[in-house]
Amino acid sequence: MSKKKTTKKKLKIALVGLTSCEGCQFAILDLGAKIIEVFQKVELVEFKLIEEEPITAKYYDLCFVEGSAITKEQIKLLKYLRKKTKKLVVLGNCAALGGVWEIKNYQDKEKTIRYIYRHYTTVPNPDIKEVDNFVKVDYTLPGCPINAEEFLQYLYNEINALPNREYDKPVCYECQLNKNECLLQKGEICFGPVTRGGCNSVCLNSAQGCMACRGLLPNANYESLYKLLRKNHTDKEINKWLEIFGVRDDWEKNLKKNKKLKK
Amino acid sequence: MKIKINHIAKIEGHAGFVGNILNGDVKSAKIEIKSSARLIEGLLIGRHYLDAPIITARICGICPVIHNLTSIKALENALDIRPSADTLRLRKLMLMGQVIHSHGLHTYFLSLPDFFDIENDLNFVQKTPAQAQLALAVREFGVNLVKIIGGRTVHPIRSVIGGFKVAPTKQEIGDLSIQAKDVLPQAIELANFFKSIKYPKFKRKTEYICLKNKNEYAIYDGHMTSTEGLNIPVKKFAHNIKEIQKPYETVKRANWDNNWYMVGALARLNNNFLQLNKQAKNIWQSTGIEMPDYNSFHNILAQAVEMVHAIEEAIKLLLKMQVKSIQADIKPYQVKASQGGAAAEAPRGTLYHYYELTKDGHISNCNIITPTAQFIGNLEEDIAHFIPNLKKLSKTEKKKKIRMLIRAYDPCVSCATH
Repeated sequence: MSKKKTTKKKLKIALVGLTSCEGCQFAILDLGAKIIEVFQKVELVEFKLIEEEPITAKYYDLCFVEGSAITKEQIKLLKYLRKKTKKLVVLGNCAALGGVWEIKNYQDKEKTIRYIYRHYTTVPNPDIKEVDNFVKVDYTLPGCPINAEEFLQYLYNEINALPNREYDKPVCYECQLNKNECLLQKGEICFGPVTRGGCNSVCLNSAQGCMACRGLLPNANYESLYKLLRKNHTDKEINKWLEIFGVRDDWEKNLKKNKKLKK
Repeated sequence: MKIKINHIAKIEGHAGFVGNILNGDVKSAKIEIKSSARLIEGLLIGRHYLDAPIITARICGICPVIHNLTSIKALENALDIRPSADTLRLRKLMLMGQVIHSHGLHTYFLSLPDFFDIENDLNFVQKTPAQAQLALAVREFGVNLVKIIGGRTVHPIRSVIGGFKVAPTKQEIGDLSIQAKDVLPQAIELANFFKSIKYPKFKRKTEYICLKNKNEYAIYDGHMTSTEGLNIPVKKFAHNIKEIQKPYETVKRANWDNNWYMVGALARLNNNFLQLNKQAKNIWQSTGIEMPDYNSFHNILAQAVEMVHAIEEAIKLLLKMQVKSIQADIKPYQVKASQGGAAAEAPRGTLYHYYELTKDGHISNCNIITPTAQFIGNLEEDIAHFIPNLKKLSKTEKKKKIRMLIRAYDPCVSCATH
């Protein structure tokens, strides 16, 4: 019955940006004519990058959220969106894993803000938290930025009431299909073996080691990667690398779990 | 009367506007920056210098290329690295791509609908299908250019300190060259369309500042120039910009010589239009606009002309690469205690990055001054000057016109706060 309903009525879609570089939204717009065509097939209720109409919708089928909730207003907005939407999908590294700004969680954040605002400031400076700390998340389109083709596929499936499934192979898998030279074997840092793929190993294709921006896979072999990395790199180097896309905390947690299981 | 706009859509980041008018006099006109601070400079302190071009690219999703490259240039200045001629060509090509796709988005999709009083781009696309096709085609070329040179459009991967990790193949260069030639007439047609639209009558004298380079229309490097006769090195200029911090504001407005000033496409045209490539120059000259042009609304016309220039420039650069194949190389260098800054022209104006490094390559100091932080003060003065022209309009119409002026500036609030 639900299938009938979706073919009859256009899906109501919202695309909302919190604190971010908005690069995921631009990656979507960069699809050009393709995305304009898809947008005609849905009812795009909210997308502040291309429209200025007041918010009137009482219900969304799908709400995409990009960015981090930093201010009280943003947390309020997030909760409000959750109430109005059937499904909430997070877009990109900031919403899914905290983003680059999460580096501050590993610093003395008072010092970090003081460095920029030397005088008295009322600028909010909370710890950076992923969106799922505030509201329930139904689906994640990860990456910094997202893979826009993956977004398109997701939306296409939703429009046609087809199932969506998160990509569960590591970046390493796609990297090998792309016949890239293995950077780990060269002694460089790369998190390809434990990072969720679906990016077509875009960084490795440009000889950049994987920084795990798409997040870690739940059941990968963290310990063997750690041992390999430790041959050429210090713990500090490894941790700093993982701080960039907010995965250091997950890595440390998973590594511990891996070790425990082995015992 | 109070004019309040809570959220200005169709700009990068979050901002609003508040103006107070008393008996016809504008008492105040303020842009309210609502993007929250991400503390980018603070995050970089203590981190390894190689992280800077990766992290600073994330300041902005529409102009990551310029943050990445300005950061790289600043660090290369610090470490005395002179990139190869091939690297410089690839960087310039990537910058042309960014100018094209950023301007392509802003001119047609973000700003132009205001001139037709349409609030939703999807309706605007239906209303002007021919121009939509042109804008999409031109933009697609810009997107492709960055994607192929940088490895990805949003947040490039291949450009690093010292050079490039990977160079485009001969085939890719050939394909881009064909695309560039195809798209040039479309960009010209689009620019002519921008020439034909009616711009509000507006004029306010201000100082237009940008880079100048004796060899070319300055985007990648140069020294500082202005419509008021400024002629100094970047270092001296950047050193003397005053950044003003207010307790409640996330943006630090930049001020030069105690004055607000204007940067961006119109600033570049006002200072350097004689150096535009041929077709671009023809279009600008055919407008008959008196120079310097003090009508801020013409910023989108200037951007449309710059798109033509950038495609012509890309054709030239690509041709050179076809004649002599291009190599990816990364110049070897020694890390040392050092300091260095650099400037480049972002789509929205001159961008500065500055870094200090410890002897083991950790960042001990850094500063980033973005175009939007530089022109907000000028924008507010423009709005205050513009409001009296709107006397006969209703409040809703007034708001629309103010939004139109704000959007013509192409503010990037994410950059401004960073």
